[in-house]
Amino acid sequence: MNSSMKVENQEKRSECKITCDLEVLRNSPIFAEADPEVLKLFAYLASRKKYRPGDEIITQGKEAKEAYYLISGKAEVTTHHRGKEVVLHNLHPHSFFGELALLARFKWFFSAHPLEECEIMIISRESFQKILEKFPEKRNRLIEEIIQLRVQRLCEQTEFMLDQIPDSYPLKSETGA
Amino acid sequence: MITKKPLFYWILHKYRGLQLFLLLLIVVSLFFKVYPLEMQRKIINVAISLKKLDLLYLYCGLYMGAVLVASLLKYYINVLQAIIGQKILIHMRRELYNHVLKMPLQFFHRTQTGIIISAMTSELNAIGQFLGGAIAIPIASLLTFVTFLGFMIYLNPILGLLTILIYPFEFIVIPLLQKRYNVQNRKRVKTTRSMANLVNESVSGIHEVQSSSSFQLEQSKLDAFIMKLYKIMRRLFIFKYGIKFSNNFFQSLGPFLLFLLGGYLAINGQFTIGALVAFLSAYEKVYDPWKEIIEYYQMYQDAQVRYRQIMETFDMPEELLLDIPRGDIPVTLQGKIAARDVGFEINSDVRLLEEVSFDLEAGKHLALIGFSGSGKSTLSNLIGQLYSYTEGSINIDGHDVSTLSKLDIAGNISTVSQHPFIFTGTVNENLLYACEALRQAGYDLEMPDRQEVLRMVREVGLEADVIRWSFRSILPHEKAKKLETKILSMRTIIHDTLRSEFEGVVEFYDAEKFLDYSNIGQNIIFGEYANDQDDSELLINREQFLTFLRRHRLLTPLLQLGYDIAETTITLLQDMRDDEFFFKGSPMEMDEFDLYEAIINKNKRADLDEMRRVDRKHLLHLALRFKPGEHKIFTMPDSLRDDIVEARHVHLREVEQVNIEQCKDGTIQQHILPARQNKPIIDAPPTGKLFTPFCTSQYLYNHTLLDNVLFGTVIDRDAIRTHLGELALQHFSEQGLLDEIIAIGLDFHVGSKGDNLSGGQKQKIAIARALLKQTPLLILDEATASLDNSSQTRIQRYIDNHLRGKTTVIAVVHRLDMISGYDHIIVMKAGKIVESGTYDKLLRQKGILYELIDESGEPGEKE
Repeated sequence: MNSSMKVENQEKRSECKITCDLEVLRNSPIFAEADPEVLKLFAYLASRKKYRPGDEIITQGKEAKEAYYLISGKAEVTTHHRGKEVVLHNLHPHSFFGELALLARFKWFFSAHPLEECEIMIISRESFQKILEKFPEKRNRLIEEIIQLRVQRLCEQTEFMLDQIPDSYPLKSETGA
Repeated sequence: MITKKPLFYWILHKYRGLQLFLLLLIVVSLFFKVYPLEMQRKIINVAISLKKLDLLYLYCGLYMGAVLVASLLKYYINVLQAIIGQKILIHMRRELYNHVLKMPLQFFHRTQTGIIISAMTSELNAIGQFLGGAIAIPIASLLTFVTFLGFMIYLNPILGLLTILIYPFEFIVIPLLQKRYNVQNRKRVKTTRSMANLVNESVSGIHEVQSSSSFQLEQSKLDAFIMKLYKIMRRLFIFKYGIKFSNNFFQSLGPFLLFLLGGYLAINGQFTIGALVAFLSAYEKVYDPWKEIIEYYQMYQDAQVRYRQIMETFDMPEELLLDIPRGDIPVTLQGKIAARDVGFEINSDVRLLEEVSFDLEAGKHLALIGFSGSGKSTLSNLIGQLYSYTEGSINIDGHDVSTLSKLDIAGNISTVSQHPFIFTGTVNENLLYACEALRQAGYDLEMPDRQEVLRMVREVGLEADVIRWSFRSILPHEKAKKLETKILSMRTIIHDTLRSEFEGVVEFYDAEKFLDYSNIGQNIIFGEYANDQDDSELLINREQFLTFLRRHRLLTPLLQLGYDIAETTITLLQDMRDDEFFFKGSPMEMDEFDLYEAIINKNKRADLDEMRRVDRKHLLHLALRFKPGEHKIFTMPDSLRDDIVEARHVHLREVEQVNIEQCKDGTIQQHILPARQNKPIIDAPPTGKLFTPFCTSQYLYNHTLLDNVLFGTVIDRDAIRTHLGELALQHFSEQGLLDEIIAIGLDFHVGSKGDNLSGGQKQKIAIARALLKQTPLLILDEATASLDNSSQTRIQRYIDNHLRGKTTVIAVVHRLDMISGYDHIIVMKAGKIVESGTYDKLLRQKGILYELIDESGEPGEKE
């Protein structure tokens, strides 16, 4: 190889793994607005993993340490309730789940399983916090994005659950009467 | 008791012979100190005045000889004195440590660790310096002093007596100053201790300090001590140098008187010049022993201050009978406990326990429950003699606990506390700690054998942890040699029986494939060299390897790769260079950042071939350490992978002379030696093996047990952890291979205070340690509190099933769903027993236990 290729080729070849993940993050809800330099670090520290049906992405009751972004495939979020597994909602490509793990320590209160082969990007709380330690001014913005995503999810889930309620369930006007 | 012994006890009772010898030496040396003075006089009065050269030579020779002997003696005396001091110190430190370890627990609650540490170490050291010459120095100095004075009086009685006149002044001034110095010195010791303590505290609590960012707070605490110490030291030095000043002053006052009077006498012809010179020399010499006496006095005062303070710290009787009275054998207990009106008070006003009475038959299990602060832990500690009750009595088989010696207790009772202590060493050493302690104390005890240890490891649920430690370890050569065939048969199980399960989870070493999870260096050599450093470091310094790369046109692409990795890393991590966390995606290590930054900046426009040799070496080093699957920083071009696999084959075949077909089918012979033309890089290890290729029949000595069993690199750790690990172990267990693995794991080093262990692991080790001792009584003080539910249940089941009828168990229990298996339950509140009886009885009478269980809402516990 000719060493003079060094300079011209370098940009193109050097950053594919990071570049690909950077693209994914740029199209995600939380990180869409983040600075390129911050985003690049997230892409550098993120990892990818493939799951097949039968695997568990998140196991209820285990320590929450990382957030997940579904790149491709379908998955469902369930919770254990009164001895039964209840589906909370379905996940489609380009959606985050478990994002609260970036902000706080807790044990998972739900599980996530792949319904078909899934490719998932994983961001650990440790890397999230380490990066924001270096860019404290970006912190608030990112946290707000996460909370907004959470609020939106809560609304969706409530709606989803309410849809499941049989018509015999007492409504407010009846009880109040 | 040791703390009541005066400082001189140690000096007068130890090494008397040596000290006497030292004194003798000093007396002998005295002669050689005076002798030169006499020569001086003779040189001037005889040799010079008679103008006789031969006499001059003789006297000068004798003078020199005497000075030489005196200096050599002085040298030997100094050494001997230091040695005696250190020898005495050994006794002192040993006896004191022995005393400290046996002091009542209250002492340790009250006294801060820093104080104990600084007393045992630095302060004793300072005393040691004094000890050696404690007797010899004052006697010798006094003798010297008197000798010189005598010599002076012999030369001229009037002048001699005049010189003595000065000294009484010093006898008044110096002790006065010294007294003040002592006061300051005592303050210094105290302040230094508090400071040591503060540092110790913030270091032990560094988690809390860093997490609450209390740097300022801690700093200001220390600042207070720093300033205080500064003020004390300032005063200390004022007195110290005040003593020195008064000494010097009186010292120079002497010659003044001598010249005045001696000069007068000499001019009048009543005194010879030679005598005057000798007199002046003697006067100077008389100052030496005087100085020594003063210094000794200061050292003595200093040592005394320190000694008293140390002894005051530890001045507390060892409150329990520690050893069995001579001639008695240790008692063997059955475990029947009778407590009568037991009370416990601390500081003579805080009552922790009141009127506690109960009976427990031998082999029965008792659960103590209650709110925190109810005294349940205290009660269990009283039974285990960790505290001594202040009222009433606890009897075990008719022996009052307070009359039993520590050895009796240790031989009959095992205690597991909530936060057990793990000692530096291996897991195995910790498991056998209690048994070993008893054995060394002279207890007749059969040490548990390997099988027993393994069984206990299994019973307390430590097996999985031990297996994990085992797989993580790189076996020492000797041990690996012994286990090689067994480990290779585990490898066969993985590769033949379980291959499909492990495919995709592990990247197997395959001679035909590029290994994404091994570094480039390993990809090329496809094996390991027997050496301590990492292979890539060895390779870059090996001319033959560089030639090989050049010949196969790999050198330039690899240098290019190294350059690209370095450049990308320093660009991306510019602001993160001080945080190791960010370097996990790059082969560069944090402390190499500056080095590579300099190389890149220097060679921005340079051609790779024009770079300095050393820079090229660094770039190659980086490239060889690059693991494409793990290091996200850079993506390697595909063409390079194929070139590397191709080069690997040539390297194996031509350089290392390995038959690749034999390597793949596992028929290759072991112990491959390097080809003859290769110069050995290092001395061959005992086996004569230098290079080990990644062939299925080869044990890889530089790799972990896991790497060797899997014969590859783990890609998906979770899959191994969750189910594949278990699957493999099941197969190993069927083939009888599991015990070997566990045995390896037992040699895992737990780190200082068990830092390499989790809280749960420490707890499990402590429980196994107590159970291995197989004592008739077992005290569990919330022993399973830091374990997960399944481990707690498992251990509780073991206690219920295996210890009932055999071992009396007293357990302080926090979780109410654990108590149904106990024979007797005591509920405590504010230091008193409020309910006592069987589980069923207490539930039936719907008292406090019933309420507690009801509140906590434990499922399935209500009737």
